[in-house]
Amino acid sequence: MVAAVPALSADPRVDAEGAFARPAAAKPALGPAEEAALVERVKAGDVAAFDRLVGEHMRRAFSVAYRLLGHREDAEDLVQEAFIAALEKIGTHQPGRAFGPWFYRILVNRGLNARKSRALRRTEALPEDVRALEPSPLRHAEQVQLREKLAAALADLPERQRQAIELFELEGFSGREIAEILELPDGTVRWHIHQARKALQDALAPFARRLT
Amino acid sequence: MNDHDLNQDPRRDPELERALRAIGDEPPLHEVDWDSLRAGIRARAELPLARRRAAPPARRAALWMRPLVPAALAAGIVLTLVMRPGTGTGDADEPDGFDLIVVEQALHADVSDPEFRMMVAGMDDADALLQIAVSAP
Repeated sequence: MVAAVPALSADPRVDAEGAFARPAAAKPALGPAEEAALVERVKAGDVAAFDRLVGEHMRRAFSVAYRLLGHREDAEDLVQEAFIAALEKIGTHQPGRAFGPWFYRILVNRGLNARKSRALRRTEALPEDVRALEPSPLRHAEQVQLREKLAAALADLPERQRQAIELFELEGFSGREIAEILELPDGTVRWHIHQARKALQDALAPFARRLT
Repeated sequence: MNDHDLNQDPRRDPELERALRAIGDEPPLHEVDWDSLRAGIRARAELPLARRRAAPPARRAALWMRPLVPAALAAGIVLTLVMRPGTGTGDADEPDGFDLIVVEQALHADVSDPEFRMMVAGMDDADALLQIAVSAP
C-alpha cells in the first residue's frame, strides 16, 4: 500500500472526509445473464438492446477514452467509433463471454491507434484552481511538488504499466478484465500493476508520512 | 495480502487512487452532453442494425450449416474415391447410402485402397472384391 502522503484536501474535488469525489463512471449495473441476452438481441438487430448496452457502458467508456486521449471531444468521438466498431464485430462476440472487457479492448486499441496517429501527448499540467487553494504557502508548495512528482512518475511509466494501473485503480476493472482488454495474461497484468505501484511509491516516498 | 502474488488481484489502494485523481487529468464527465452522445451513436448504428434485421434467414442458415461442413467434406472425399467416371447415379452396382460413421472410421483406418473402397461402399462379397481388384489402378 502507498504510504500516506500529505493531504491533497485543498482541492475542491475532495469531500469533507478527504475522499476524492469518484466520477459517476461506475461499473455497469447489468448482470452477466441480462447482458448476454442483450448481446444476442443486438446480433439480431434489436435497436433497444443496443441502446441499452450503450447506456450501460457509455460513461465508463468515455472515462477510459479520456485517459487515453486527454481531450473531451476526441474521447467522445472515440466512444462513438468504438460502439459502432463493436456493433459491426458483434457477430464475433462469443456467447457466454462478458461484453464489457471485449468492448473495452476494441475501445483501447482504437484509442491507442488514434493517439499514435495524432501524436498526442499526455499533459501533466496541474489544475490552476488547485494552486490557488492552499492553507499555507509552505503546505501549498509541498502539495504542488508532490503532484508534480507523481505526475512525472506516472508519465514515465511504460505504456502498459500506466494503462494497467489506471484501469485498475481509477476505473475499477479487475485484473482479469484488464487482461482481456489489454490482451495480456492475468499474471502479466498483475505484475504491471505491482511494478507501477512500486514506481509511484518510490516517487512519493520523500513526501510520505506513515500512518500511526 | 501479498502484493507480489500474481495469482490474485492486489488490494485496492484508496490512498493511491486519491493521489492519482488529484494530479489533475480527471475525465470531465460533467461536461459531456450524454443525451447527444447517445443519440449520435444511435443514429450511426441504425444502418448496421437494419442490415442485421434484414438478413437473419441467411445468417441463421450459415450458423447451423457450419458444423456440417467437415462432414460434407469427408463425404465428398469418399464420393470422389468410390465413384468411377461414366458411372451414372442409377447404376445398380453403385453402393446405396453412405454411413458417415463408416466414412469416418474408413478415413482413419490403416487399410489399403481396395479395402478402403470396400468399407465405404459397404460391399463385402468376393465379387465386389474382385471388381475392386480389377478396377484398381
